[in-house]
Amino acid sequence: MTLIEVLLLVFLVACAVSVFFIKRLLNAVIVFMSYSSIMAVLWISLESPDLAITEAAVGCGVTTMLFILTLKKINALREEGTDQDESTI
Amino acid sequence: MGQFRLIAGTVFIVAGLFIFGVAVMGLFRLRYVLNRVHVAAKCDSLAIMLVCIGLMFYAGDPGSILKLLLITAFVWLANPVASHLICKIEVETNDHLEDECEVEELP
Amino acid sequence: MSLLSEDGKKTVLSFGDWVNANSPEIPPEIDYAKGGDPKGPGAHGHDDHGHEDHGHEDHGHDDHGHEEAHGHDGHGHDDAHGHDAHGEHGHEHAHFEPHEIVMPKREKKPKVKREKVQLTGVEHSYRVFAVISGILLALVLLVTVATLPRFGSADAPAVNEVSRRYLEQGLTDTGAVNAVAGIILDYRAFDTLGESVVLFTATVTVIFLLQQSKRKNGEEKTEDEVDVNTGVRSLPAKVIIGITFPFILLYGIYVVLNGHLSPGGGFSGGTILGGGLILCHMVNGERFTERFITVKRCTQIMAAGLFVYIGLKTYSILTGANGAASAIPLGTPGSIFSAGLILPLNICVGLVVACTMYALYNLFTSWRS
Repeated sequence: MTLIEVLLLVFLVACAVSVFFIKRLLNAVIVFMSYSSIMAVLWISLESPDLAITEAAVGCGVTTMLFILTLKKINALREEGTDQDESTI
Repeated sequence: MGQFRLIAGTVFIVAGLFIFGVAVMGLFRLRYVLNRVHVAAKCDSLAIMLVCIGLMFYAGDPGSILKLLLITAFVWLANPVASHLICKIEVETNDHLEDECEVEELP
Repeated sequence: MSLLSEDGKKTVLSFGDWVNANSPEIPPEIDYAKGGDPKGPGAHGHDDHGHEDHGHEDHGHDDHGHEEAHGHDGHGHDDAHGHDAHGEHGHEHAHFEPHEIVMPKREKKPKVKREKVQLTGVEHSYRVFAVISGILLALVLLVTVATLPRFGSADAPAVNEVSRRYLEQGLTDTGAVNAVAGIILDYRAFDTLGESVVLFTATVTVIFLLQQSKRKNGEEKTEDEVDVNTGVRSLPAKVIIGITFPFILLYGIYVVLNGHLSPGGGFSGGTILGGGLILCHMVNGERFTERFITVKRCTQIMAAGLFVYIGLKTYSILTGANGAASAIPLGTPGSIFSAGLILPLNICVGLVVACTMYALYNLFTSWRS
């Protein structure tokens, strides 16, 4: 196992753990996307490029897009602290 | 692999990585969205090109060079547009844009 | 929920009071609603369209709203906790508003979600238990991983006669240079059929959940809807998508068709195709993409792909699997028309996956509360 793989694995675990502890949903989705892209590189290093392509397209692209769309539809993208929200309550 | 190709490729890749580092530093140091998008867009485009040129020196065969050229072309098409859209959303939705930067009245 | 969670019981009890006491503060909220609905008073009509139950609550008197609020007083304390965790419960409380106050539903979301809540002893023990069990699970998994055989080692239990047979006889059995395609679309094609059916079922479920009937004529279009119909209001994005969209589709088709020769295949290529369609829809809008693909057509393509898959595989199982000679030649390994049924099966799977992606995205965007 080379140094770069160890680094990638460490980042993978860090991303996976930090998704739980991030409070803002949009940030959690973005961290999850970075998890997927690291995973795609790891699939290549495990010599399964077809899984890597699928992971990159599904995990980074489509899943993230569906997550963000859902957040937008349930009005969870706007966080407290912006002007408009302060004016409402 | 010839000595020249190795050295040239390494030089280009290290330059690209340096510019990536500059981009990351800018992303963390700058506070406002437009500044950060500026850093990310320009540095990414340049660094991707440099890294791809370095990899072309490493690879050597025409097929790989063509693929790397295509990657560069795609990033150069996609990256500025994505940054442009982010900036556009920020400008359209920020009600207090003049607090952050000079605003030129558009017709 | 911020309305409720200031401190547990009291705020829940006084929810009805909250509505009355804060009624002067309502106008700014309606201003905020302008983002969604440009016409202020029209917002109410828009709401009624989607929510029949809302109309029912409207008939209630003011004190009726009070009663409802007090009814909830029964589980007052727990309720506050529940609200901190689940955003959607806020909508239930939205029904208690009195008739005169017109408040669009979308603005009822909590603004200050994460206030400190006093935990009871039981809840504390739950948290401690959750942490302990999580750590234990992680330890068990780590120990398991530590005792696994090394990646690619020869004495791993996965290296048995099955995988040896796949690797040695795969090329002559299936004709596919890419061993993965040979396994998932020839030896284990039934498994792949199951995966495709899962995707189809997911799409059908989402259609049942999210597809809405056509809007009545003369209704105001919200800003959101205009965006969905016409896409991004930006010329550079449209131009660049016009340039890159054909190449994305071309690459996806290449990955699908080349699945038996190189890494890739139906799933990967289908996802790339679906991603390209999603990008096109995102930038150019519904009006542009509905000319060549709609959700209805997606379901038709998926059903057709599944039926073709089932038919081809039935033929292959009936003829080839018993050792009888199959009429489909395997061709020379390495050429594009080789590997028997794998190429059409790849196309079917790719179509199903691409249509799933696009249909999911389309339904998610066109849905509105």
